[in-house]
Amino acid sequence: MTTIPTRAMALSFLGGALGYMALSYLTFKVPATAEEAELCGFVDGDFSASGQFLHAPLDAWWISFTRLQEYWTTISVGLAVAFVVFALIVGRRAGGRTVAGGAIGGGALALSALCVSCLAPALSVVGLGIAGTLLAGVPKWLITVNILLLTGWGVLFLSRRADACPLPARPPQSVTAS
Amino acid sequence: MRHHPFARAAAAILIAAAAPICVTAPAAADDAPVVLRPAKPGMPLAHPIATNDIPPPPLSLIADRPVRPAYVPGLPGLPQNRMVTDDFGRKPPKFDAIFIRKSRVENGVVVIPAGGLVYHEDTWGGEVALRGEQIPMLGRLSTYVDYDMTTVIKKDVTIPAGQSVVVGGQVYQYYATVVHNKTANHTLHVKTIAGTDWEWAFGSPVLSPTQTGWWSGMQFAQLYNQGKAREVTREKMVFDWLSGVRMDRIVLADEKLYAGLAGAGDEWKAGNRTVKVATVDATAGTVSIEVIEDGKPVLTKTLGPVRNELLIEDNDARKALVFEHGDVIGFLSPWPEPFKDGKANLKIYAKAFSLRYGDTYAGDTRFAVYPVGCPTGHNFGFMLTNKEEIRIKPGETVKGPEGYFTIAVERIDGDTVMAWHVADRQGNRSVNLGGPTITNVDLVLGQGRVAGQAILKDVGRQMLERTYTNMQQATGTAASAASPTVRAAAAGSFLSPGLLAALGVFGLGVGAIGYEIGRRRKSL
Repeated sequence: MTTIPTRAMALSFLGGALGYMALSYLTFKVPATAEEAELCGFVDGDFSASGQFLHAPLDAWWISFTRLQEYWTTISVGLAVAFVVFALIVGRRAGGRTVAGGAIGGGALALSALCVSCLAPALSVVGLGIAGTLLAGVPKWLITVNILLLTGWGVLFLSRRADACPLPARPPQSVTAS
Repeated sequence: MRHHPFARAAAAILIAAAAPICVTAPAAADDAPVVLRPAKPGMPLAHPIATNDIPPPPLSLIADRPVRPAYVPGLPGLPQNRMVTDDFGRKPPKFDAIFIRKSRVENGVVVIPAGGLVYHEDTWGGEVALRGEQIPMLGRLSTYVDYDMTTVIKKDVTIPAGQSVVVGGQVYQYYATVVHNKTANHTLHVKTIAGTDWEWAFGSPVLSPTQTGWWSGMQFAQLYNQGKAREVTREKMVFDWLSGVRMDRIVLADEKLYAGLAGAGDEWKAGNRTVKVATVDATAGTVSIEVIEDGKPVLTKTLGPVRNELLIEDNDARKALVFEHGDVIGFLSPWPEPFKDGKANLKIYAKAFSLRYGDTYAGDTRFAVYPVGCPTGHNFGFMLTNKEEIRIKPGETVKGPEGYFTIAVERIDGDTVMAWHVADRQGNRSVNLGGPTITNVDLVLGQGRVAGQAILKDVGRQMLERTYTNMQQATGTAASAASPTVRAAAAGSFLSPGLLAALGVFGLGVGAIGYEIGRRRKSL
């Protein structure tokens, strides 16, 4: 039976999740108006009576991150990235087309998670905000659970396919005596 | 089942707190002898026993404290920790205080009941007669010269647990019961009508019929605040008698005519009056003073001898040194020495005036005045309280005594005072003390013995909560902790197309995983 590359997947999960957090922080802009602030989870109380935004940039990003429940998106992106990496590792044995489909599916899952994140305003510039609009009514925890189910199924499916089409063992390398 | 003693005590206080206060004087209790104890055997009682009953200022009970009051530490024209002087280099600090209590909003108007608005000349230490101590009088300084203090005795006084009664110028509160096994002790808190807490000076009397080894039984003495209880339970204290000192009058003066050594024949003019030293007898320790008005002697009094062991609290010993006629007052000063080189050490003042307990304040007849007495015989400032109810409409102001401060109400919404402030005579205003949760104009202003210390035990928690709440509202951060009404949470409308699709994917995912697991089991 095919061994699931758990170490590589765990590292990929971690890389994807941390990468998403880094991207989220780097693209975060301290809101200048109440309207902008509302998009990323801020309320009137985050502004002084004179309209001044009250939080430092790092604090503001973290407040937005937690209030928008971005930790679910972080997990979702991590799962999707881990799945893409898994698909590429087992690709040779599972068949090229299947693997390509799996990898594309994983990427699509990651994108769908991104579409409802705080990056959505930026993504809408390139047309990806439409998916965000569709998923806007879906709780982020449910998206994460769905991604866990789909990637879990994908791992089981690809590993079964890999077992069904075992590759011939590599020819032994020649040993030359000196 | 056993209960924790503190829980039982607290329950008893809570139950009894609802009971009415009862102060009566039935014939049976009149038979109980009143035995006021001097500091030591043979020492006379310092103050005469009061022969009249003068009502205390309204709202003197603990239950009448300000409710969720605004706190203002002071204003430039209402100085705090202002050092004054006396003739001997002492520099006691003085504080202006304002209290508003029992105020309310009624039909869009702020109402302050009679006695609800208080100016208090608050002092950190006791004000001592015959020493030339200066006392702030609504912005000016007058010299404290002499006083009349009496000891008021009330018989058959009942204090329900948690409640308080006024005796003379003192307020007694049944504060706590502490139970130990089947025994208990019961604590009495003693304050003045202004709220000065004598705990810092004397501790709190503790009565106990059951813990005879620990306390002094059923009688207590805090100088001339004394009492003898006949029944003390968790529910009430019943006293055969209670005494409390009352500062009936303090005498102040605005002009110093003379201070120093004076011999026979020396004289000073005060308007149409002449104060003259008739004779000096240093050997006998006496000096004879004459006050002459329009050429005729209207007062002749021999001052002395000095009885240092009883000064300055003992009424007879002190009055033996003082002469007074109209607005002229003076005394034979015992310090540093009453006589030197055959001359008498005299201090003579003109433009003297009295603040009498319960009288209308001469400087502003809208107010009554109450000097505040300490059982030592010292004075602890004075109160000026409004005699009539005050009503303030939005946009109106009311002035304190002699216009020393102003209370201004700017905006009322329904039962809420949205904007009001206090200002000093120079127009320095406090911040807005109103807000969406403010339903009265109750106030504590100052940092003195009462406003900055004693009253905090009663209203400090409410005052802190109110101050913080108003700060939150002023800075617009009121909802930050609890509010996060965020887009992500709010976006989830019930069974939207997206949610239906997600639930479908969820079902497919569960099915697909189930299928994969099933296949694997089969293949094993």
